[in-house]
Amino acid sequence: MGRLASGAAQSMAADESSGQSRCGNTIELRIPSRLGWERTAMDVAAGVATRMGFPPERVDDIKTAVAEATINAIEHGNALDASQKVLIVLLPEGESLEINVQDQSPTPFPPDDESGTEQTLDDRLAGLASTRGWGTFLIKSLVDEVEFSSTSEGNLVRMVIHLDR
Amino acid sequence: MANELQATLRPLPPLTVIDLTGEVTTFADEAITSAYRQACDQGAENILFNFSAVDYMNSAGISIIIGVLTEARKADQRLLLTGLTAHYRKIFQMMGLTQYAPVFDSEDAARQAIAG
Repeated sequence: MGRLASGAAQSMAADESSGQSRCGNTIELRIPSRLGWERTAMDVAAGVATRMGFPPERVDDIKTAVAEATINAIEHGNALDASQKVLIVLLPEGESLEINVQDQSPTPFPPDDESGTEQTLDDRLAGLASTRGWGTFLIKSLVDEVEFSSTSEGNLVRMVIHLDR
Repeated sequence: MANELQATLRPLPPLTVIDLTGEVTTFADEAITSAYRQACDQGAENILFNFSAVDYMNSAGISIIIGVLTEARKADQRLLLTGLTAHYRKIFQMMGLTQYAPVFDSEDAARQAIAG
């Protein structure tokens, strides 16, 4: 899985001295690219976040961010092809939860100005922009860190949520 | 697989309530827009969306509400919202929706806001 795999290998090497492999706490989920399956990803993320001690309102934020990232991967990345998988990897690490959502698309993410985040609600109400395209905005608003990247193996959304925020 | 949305009309003068049950996602488009059209056919001026039986919403579903809001503004109708959880109220606020479609804690509060 490209960047995800190399990142995980580096983390394993770094944590070996602490006696606990980071990969030992990795939770992976592969879902078909059919709308509706994002709810399973949400439920798994909620379970991990709750177990880590995130308060209920933060768990809700995490669920929505995961849902939006997964829907984007299903709909835009994998073009609703059920044979293509979305990989969701959760890495609970002390005071932070990292969640990576990766599609199998050969087409990179569009540049930010095409992602719909620049259009305001006023633009949309005036018919100057589509009423859709809020997913990326919500992801950025609900998590503490977010990074969008693309490799030949797919697009990756990396989200980090800190327990103390 | 999706929990298909049901949208039903209920008169609550001076409001017309659209009760939503299920999931507000892209699959809810037909149900929501059909209910809205039915409300328009009945001459509704103040439309209250009741989300108390909605267990899941995503941005695609909220976009449908934005679409209805766009039409309501053209038709000089007022859109009101109730039954939102604290989380979804926050989402609607983030998106700027509550500026155009106020959120009420109860149907009674919405009715009083309109009736004056």
